[in-house]
Amino acid sequence: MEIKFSENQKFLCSDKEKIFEVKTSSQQFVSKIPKERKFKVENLFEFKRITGDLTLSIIFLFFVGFLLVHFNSESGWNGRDLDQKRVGKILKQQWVGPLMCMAILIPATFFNILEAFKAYKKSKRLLIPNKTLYEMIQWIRSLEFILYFLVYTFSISILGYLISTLIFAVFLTYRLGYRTKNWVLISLFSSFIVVLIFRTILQIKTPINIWLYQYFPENIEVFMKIYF
Amino acid sequence: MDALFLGLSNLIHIHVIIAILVGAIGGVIIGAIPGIGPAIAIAILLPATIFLDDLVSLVLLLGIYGSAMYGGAIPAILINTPGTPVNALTTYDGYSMTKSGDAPRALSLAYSSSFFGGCFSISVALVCLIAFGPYLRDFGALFGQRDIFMAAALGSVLLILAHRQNMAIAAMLFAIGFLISMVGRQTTRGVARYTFDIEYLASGFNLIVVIVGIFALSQALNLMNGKDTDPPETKITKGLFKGLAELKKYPAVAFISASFGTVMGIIPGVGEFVAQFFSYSTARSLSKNPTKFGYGAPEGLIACETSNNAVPAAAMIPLLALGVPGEALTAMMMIVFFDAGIKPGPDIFEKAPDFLFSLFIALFFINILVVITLLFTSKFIAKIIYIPNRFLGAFIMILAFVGVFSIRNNFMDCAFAAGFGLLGYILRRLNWPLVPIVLGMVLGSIMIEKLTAGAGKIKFWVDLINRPVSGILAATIFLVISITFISSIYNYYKKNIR
Repeated sequence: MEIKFSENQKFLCSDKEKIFEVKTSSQQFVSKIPKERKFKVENLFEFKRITGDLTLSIIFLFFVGFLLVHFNSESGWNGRDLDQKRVGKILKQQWVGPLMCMAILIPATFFNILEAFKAYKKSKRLLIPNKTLYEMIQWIRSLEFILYFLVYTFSISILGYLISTLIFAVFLTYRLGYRTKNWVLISLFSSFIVVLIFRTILQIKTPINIWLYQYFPENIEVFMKIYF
Repeated sequence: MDALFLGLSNLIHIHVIIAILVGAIGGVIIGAIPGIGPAIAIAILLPATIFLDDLVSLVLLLGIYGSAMYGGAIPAILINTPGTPVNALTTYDGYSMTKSGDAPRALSLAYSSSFFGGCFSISVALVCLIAFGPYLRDFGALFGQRDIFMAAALGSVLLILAHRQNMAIAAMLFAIGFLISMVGRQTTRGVARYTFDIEYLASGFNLIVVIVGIFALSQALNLMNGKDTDPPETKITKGLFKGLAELKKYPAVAFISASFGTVMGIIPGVGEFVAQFFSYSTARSLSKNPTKFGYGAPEGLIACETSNNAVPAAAMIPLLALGVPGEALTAMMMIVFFDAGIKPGPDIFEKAPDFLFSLFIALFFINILVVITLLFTSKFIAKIIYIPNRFLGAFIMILAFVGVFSIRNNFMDCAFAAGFGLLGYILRRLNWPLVPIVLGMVLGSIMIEKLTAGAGKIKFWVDLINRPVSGILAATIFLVISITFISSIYNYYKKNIR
């Protein structure tokens, strides 16, 4: 195929790299800022549906369905009194708030699932690999840390805020891969500072009836209960 | 004028001074750490503020809010990673300047611009309070329950529409937040809503539990499940004072950007991002070297930093004037107001004008303190950037416990916060917005409270909008929705049919 260029068009070609530059008269108005550095107002609110979006949208759809099924009994709708002359007396009733929520939630969920499905079909058409399972595994993986958090929370009533926090900080730091002596010391020091600021100085409430503290001598027990 | 001096004298108290210091310096450090940000810090500190004096608490939180953006500019300029989302545009010109060996100049330019932006909006707020103070007291009489209901409804509509490309998601999450605020026993009639006979749910979800879960715990999970970044090391050499005077060369850019920040900061949901966009675009069109934008143009840096720092003071205006928060941070501050027994809203101009002056003057001192601190300690603060993300995640989790447990001494709160944390983590992974959930809770409960309180005066549906203010607000809601609808049809036509 033969390509013809007019006089005002330039054609450059080096031996090593094939670079083509064709300048037409309209191109003089094109901004010199490279494409990746240009931005529009849309860029500030840029949103792209990614893997897992459809799954979460389906979960939300089921959740909304569940809320809808229980709307009659859980929103107070079953105790409604619509036979009122004044609109104000209707608006005061307990079901108005939940009804307003559902009025926004149902169409929004419907549109969201449509858009998510459209995006899913598009990614399938473009042969983008489906990593939904990988994404869901990531969600489940985070449960590990949630479990640690809950164990830490419950251990406070057994070991006390200070000891639990020190153990939890060192364990978590070790679990995350910072296993040198320095990191252990840093985590010990930082967690002690946290306890000192929040419990000792600011006197934030933490559990008082600590199982371990009752085995301490009385003076130390009182001191620990007040400050740690 | 008396209120001004009374406001100033409120600040001369050792606890308030300490709050200013801790808020200002703490905010800078929090802002400088990519991955934390002011929302997480405020979420964790909220329960602690319950034990503090009302002015001390608000000054502390305001300090973090006002100074985090200063800190956020440091990693944006030095390692091309914004410390807070608001500093994203700063990377364009800030990091380019660093690459060309001008890091100290970029930093000092960012500090001076931020200072100008912050002081500009505070001055506007103070001048308005002094000049219109007596009239603002009458302004309170214009606002009834239905008017505030409409203002909250307008805030909700603007919030949803601000998420231009994911409006359905924003609306869905807003409604879920709204529904969360409905859970529990209704105060007036005692009817249990969405409790499913679970005893814990009878008292409803505490807003702080949801906030800590959604913002702090989710980010902790996000950081711990992610990877540590290895940012390139940049040394700050001498010359931090050099760029301070450079701002004087671009008065128009600074003034226009600060004005955009102040005006846009008042609009709920959109504030700082849109203000930056308009400022940056205007600065580019005013510049003699528009092609330099994105490659280290000082005007670009000034536009971003001036506009985003003008927002905090402006964002307080809808909260204080109407009792309607525009974004997550002011929504969190509202909790402190409630704890202090001060109801933000039109009446505040009559009941506690000195309190308003105190807040804005404190914000002014915070700005001065931050600039002085940064000029002398940037070298040390810059090292904070290199704390590993996953390690930070672990510590956010430790702090989150304090945040949740201390509210009601209830372990179930921690369990539910963990649940919200998981939800927030999944939403973060999918780039779904978190703010609509929190604002849904806050604005939703305001709407229902005001609707119930004003219901006695509503005989027909039209009574909802037959007052001057509520009528104007309802018309604005209609107009905003219509414009969005028409523009989306036009865009669809342009994209698919033409």
